[in-house]
Amino acid sequence: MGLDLRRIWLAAAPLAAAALLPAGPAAAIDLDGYYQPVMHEDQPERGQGPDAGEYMGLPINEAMRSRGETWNGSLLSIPERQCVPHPATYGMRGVGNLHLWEVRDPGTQELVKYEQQIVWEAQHREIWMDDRPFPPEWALHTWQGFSKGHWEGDVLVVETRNLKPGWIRRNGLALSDKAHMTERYIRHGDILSHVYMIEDPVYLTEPMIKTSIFRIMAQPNMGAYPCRPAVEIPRPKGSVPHNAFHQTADIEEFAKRYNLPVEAVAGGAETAMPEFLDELAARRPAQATKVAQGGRK
Amino acid sequence: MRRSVAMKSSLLAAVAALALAGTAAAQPSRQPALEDQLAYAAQAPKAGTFQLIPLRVLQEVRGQEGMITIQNGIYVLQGPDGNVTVQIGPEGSVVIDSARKAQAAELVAALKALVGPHTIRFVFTTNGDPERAEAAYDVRKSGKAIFGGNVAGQASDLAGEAVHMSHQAVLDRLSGIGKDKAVDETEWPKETYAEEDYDFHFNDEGVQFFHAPAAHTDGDSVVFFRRSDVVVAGDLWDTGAYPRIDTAHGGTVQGVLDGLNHVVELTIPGNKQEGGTLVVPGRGRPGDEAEVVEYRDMVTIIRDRIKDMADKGMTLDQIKAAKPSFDYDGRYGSTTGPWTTDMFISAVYEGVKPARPQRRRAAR
Amino acid sequence: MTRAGLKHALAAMAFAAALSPAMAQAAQGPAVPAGPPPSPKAGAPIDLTGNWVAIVNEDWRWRMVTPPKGDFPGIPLTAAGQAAANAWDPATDGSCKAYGVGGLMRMPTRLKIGWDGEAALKIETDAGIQTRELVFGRRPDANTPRTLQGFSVAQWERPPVLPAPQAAGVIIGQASQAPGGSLKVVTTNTTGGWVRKNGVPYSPNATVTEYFDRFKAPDGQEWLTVLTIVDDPVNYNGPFLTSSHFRREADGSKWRPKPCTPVAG
Repeated sequence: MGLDLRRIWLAAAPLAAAALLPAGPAAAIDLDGYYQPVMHEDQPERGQGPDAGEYMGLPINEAMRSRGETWNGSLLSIPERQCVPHPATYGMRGVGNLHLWEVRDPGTQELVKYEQQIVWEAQHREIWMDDRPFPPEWALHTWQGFSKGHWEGDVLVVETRNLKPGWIRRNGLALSDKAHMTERYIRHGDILSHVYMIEDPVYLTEPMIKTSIFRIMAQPNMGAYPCRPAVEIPRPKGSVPHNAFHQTADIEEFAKRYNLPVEAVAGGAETAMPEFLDELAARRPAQATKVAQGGRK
Repeated sequence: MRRSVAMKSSLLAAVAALALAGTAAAQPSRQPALEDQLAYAAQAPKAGTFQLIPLRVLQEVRGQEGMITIQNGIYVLQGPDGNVTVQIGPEGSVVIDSARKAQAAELVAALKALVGPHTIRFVFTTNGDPERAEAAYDVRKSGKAIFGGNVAGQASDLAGEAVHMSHQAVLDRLSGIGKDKAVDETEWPKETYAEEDYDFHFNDEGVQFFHAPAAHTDGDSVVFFRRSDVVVAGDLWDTGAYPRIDTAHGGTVQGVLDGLNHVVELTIPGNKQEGGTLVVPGRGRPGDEAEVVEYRDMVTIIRDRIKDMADKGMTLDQIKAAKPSFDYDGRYGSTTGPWTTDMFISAVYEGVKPARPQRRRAAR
Repeated sequence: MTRAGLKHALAAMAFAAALSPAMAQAAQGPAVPAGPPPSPKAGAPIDLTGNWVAIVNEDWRWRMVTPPKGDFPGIPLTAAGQAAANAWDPATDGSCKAYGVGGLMRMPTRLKIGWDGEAALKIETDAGIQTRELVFGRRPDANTPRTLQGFSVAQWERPPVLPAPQAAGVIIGQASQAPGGSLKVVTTNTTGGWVRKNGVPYSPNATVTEYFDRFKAPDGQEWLTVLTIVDDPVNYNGPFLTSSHFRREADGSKWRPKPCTPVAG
């Protein structure tokens, strides 16, 4: 009996299609699990918080420096700010255990998204793996933004846009809502390295890269984080605590305390480079503890 | 009451698709989850230069041979010269603001496609900009008031158009009380409120209007759709620029700040401080409380800086040279166009400069 | 199912199996090669060679300057480790002890990475003028001397092999190798040293494990990250983990060697 090629093709088509259709992005490794942040780096900043005026090594521009100078910690006490979670651009840097899990379509078993939760302020993110389009710029911006992920080998690469105006450090170093972020989740054994890079045309002179390290946890320790704001300090209506314009006392105080030149403490991309050691050698110990005004670099 | 209508325009079909996407996996009338809004916002259609933003889709949608049932919803038509907010429901539609005269014809077409048979009943103007009123004329002509009562015989000419509303100060400004009138009488608002606030119930929700005195102009209003949980901030908030303070028409920086603080009072953020009450700016993209707070903080900080400088005796030129807004200029500033950073600083200064000491009369 | 139907189904599976491997492979990456493995250099899954510069925006206060004695927050030191760190003599600032394998990659430095033959990578630093040799396929033995940089055993780590695709229970493709990978380096046989310039110690018994990863950023810049894990039960309560960033540079024109003070004895 001769083969009926047409019938074979018709019968084979679904199988061939099944083989060729992408079955969702293949997860090269299993990221699911509970992780504990390892704060061996930048521990004081990530734990109790940075000093006001501490900007060394960060690629900030003059405008962001001024935002930092203007920032006053009392701002966090106004009711509208009390329950704000860390944005995606900072959450992985902060304290709190991390839970990461995949969500698959129950019918097709395709990987739809990863979700993650950080205990502090119940930061919850979704990382869409189904190649859905980014929402347009005019769509609602959120603290956690809109994230899309894809695999590059065994590295999960995540792009995030549509962020609210956030921050890169808890001392007033502000990001604009034009910022976007690229992250890489890298697993080496029980260690998860979270490499993130933030670009902001408004406040950064170049992409800022940092890595946060997590270690997988044997016992999960997650908890709810309810938050309801309250008037902690009675103030006149509309009060916005802030420092005076060009208030450089914080930078100067930090420089003095750690015997650093104010030019280093004030930050900027150049302060992260090895050649800045020459600048430090020339200026340290800091004698000039006043930040020059206007183009002080 | 619900009305069944056939989907006629592609725009309305797209709106229905959005609504369906938002409710397919949810309970009837439940608002779509924030992530759903973000996900399907990308599918929202454009109508000419206007971008349709389905802000709060409260519709209950049931597919019945091309029929849809609309319960309620708030939409924004984002245009190059400002946002137009539309409440659609069984009693008809309410339109808040009307872009500019140049886009009036295009706006009317976009509105017709959006509201379908839900006739425009009210057009509300949130400030006294003459161009807003001129465009509102075209929009109201495309609608029809619910008309009757014991004045019907005397004012039947009003029956064929929507009711144009505003704060009384807008009418005063446009009609030129004590001055030359700004626009033709036919373009004046026909109903006004002169108190601090005004409200009515329409489309199954309370609609409140709050006067924001001496803000962008002297006739600004903030509109609050209570059930939809949407605040229209008008020109108090511009997500792409500093607030336009029209000092020639009664605007002041303190009025803008008072208005923004009132918007913050009206808003309640949602879970994890995302969403909740949504706010429509006069220009730019809608946001929630946190973004209004960020903007309010920015205006407050710049106001305080300029006031400090003015209190120290610095002149306006000296203040401008000190660049009191430079750390926000990359986000909100402009050196060209109808509203520059320079104009904003001048307007703020106007509101905070020390009062001139009264000259003593010379003794006779 | 009728016999004719069964025939059709079997034929269809055969057709699909014949049709899909090449396309499946194209979709998932190269097939796992057969035969003897290539040399570490020839088979490198990522290219680490070139000129790199450290971008110091983490732990700045402990990396760009020598911190005061006793300033070591974040490091999981044992009591013995703390005692040793607190005994540091500031007069020894600049010692090459801070440029050993436990602390070298944290230095504000430039790197030159290149191949030394087919089975060793060489890392040179201008900070402290140090050279590391990362050796593939060999392990230290009893005669291996202890040095500041120790003996570094290197191996490529590759993503897991993706299983062959299947349809209806029939294997219709080949197992394939996902792209990318990283370099794992385990260093022992050191003389000990400091993880920070202010004398925070690691002992000669420490094991330093590193993972080198490379990637391209959205703006086109090439980056190298080095995860460093120092295990030293004498001085640390658990592994001490840091991650360092290096940005690729076009050439070595900014190379400025600065020696450290050799360790006495």
